[in-house]
Amino acid sequence: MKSRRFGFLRHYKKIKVEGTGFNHIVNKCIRSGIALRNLKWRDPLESTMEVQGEDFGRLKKLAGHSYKMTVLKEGGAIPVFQSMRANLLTVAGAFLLGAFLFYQSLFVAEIRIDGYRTVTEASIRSTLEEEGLYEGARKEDDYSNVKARLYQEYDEITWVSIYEDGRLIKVNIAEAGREGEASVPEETPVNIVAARSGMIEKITPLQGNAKVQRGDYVNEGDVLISGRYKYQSSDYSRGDKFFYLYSHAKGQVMARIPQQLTYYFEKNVRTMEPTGRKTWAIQVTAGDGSFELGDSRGDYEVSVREETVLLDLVRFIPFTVKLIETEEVTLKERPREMKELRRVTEAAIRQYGKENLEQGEDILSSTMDFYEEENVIKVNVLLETLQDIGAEKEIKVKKEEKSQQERIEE
Amino acid sequence: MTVKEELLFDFATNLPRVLVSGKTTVLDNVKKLLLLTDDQIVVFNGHRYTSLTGQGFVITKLQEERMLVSGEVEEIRFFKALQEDKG
Repeated sequence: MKSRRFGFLRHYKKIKVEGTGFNHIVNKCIRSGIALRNLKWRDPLESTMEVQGEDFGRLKKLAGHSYKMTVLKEGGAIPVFQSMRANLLTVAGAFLLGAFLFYQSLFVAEIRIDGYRTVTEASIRSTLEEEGLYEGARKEDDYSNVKARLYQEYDEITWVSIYEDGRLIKVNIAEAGREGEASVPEETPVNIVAARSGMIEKITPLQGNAKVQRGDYVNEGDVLISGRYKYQSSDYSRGDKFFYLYSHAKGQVMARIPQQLTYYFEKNVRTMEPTGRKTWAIQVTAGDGSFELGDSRGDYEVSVREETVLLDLVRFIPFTVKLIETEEVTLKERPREMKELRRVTEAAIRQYGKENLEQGEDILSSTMDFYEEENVIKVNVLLETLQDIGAEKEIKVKKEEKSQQERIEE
Repeated sequence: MTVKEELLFDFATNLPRVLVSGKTTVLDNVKKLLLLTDDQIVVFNGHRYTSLTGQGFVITKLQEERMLVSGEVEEIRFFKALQEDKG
């Protein structure tokens, strides 16, 4: 006997039966063993019911010409599959679209960085990229390695949070306030003292008395501009004694400071000379997959590979097209020339000045001494720099002097 | 129940057997449907007739002499045909 357990699940038809005596056709079905479902009386001439697809033919035969039957709807697994087969392209398209949406959700579309103050966004982005977190990279479950790298790279960063919001990665950073930047309040009496030793080149006191002049050599901690004024009282009731007034000294003190730097360079320099043989290839990367059109290796023993990005998309899925040029080279080694060594050292000095000197400060002169050692050349550089050496230092006013000053101010 | 009653309940195929639970009613031994409207259903069970009166009746399943009815049942009546009707 044919199993009818899944009859309605496989295929059913909802039909409208029009005619008098609906119960007659139902009784015929009972006698013939035709299963019916959802029999609904609508009015004396019209009813609806559901019958299994395979029984529909028999039902029509039983009904003869006494009833009008109209199929309202078909349901079950078979019609669904038939409909899918008829719309194969639509189903395949929907599946591909779903797969595409899922696949693109695996990649980072945007990185947003907030909370940085002294560290630049570009440098943070560069560090993130080195750890594999960039726009177009595969999303990760755990970003602890990226956090650790940020803490390691930047001392200023005290807290990092990285979380995903869909395809957006939010990087929040907190930086510690620098203690050195805490400025002394304006009303506090201070002296300007030398932060380091040097020869005074120029002194511009804006408030206070200059204690040194051009050409003086000062040591660290020496008072350069004093915030203390000595005056003789003109109030005869207090006598004609000398008193002190204290103020917040201000000004700029530029000094010549000698500095010594040491650089090491390799004695020989390696060069790559092109042989003139080249190969080109186009590399296409979509998501995790990648293929190359052409030969990007060239079977050269030593080669230089240069990549030019022709197309770079990250919005939907990461899609990159690169032109790869591979050029054969030969490696050669030659002794470093003195002229070249001098040029590299000068560049290093300029870089030092850029990183360590502030606006208004300058490198006045430099002398270089070269010493040849085993495999390396040591360069001792003696610099003379012009730097602002003034630093505020609070004046400790004695209690009796302070009360005296307050009385004067009254 | 006695054994006779048990046997009668399980194997009497021409007598009405009705189970009502909430808005679902199960009628067994349905030989014939005599009347179906949205407020009344009358079936013949072989020796007796069963009449359900209520509201919003839909026969959710009719298979192998078992009828599942959904709807609010207000009254169930059992009756038999008059002698003169049988002829």
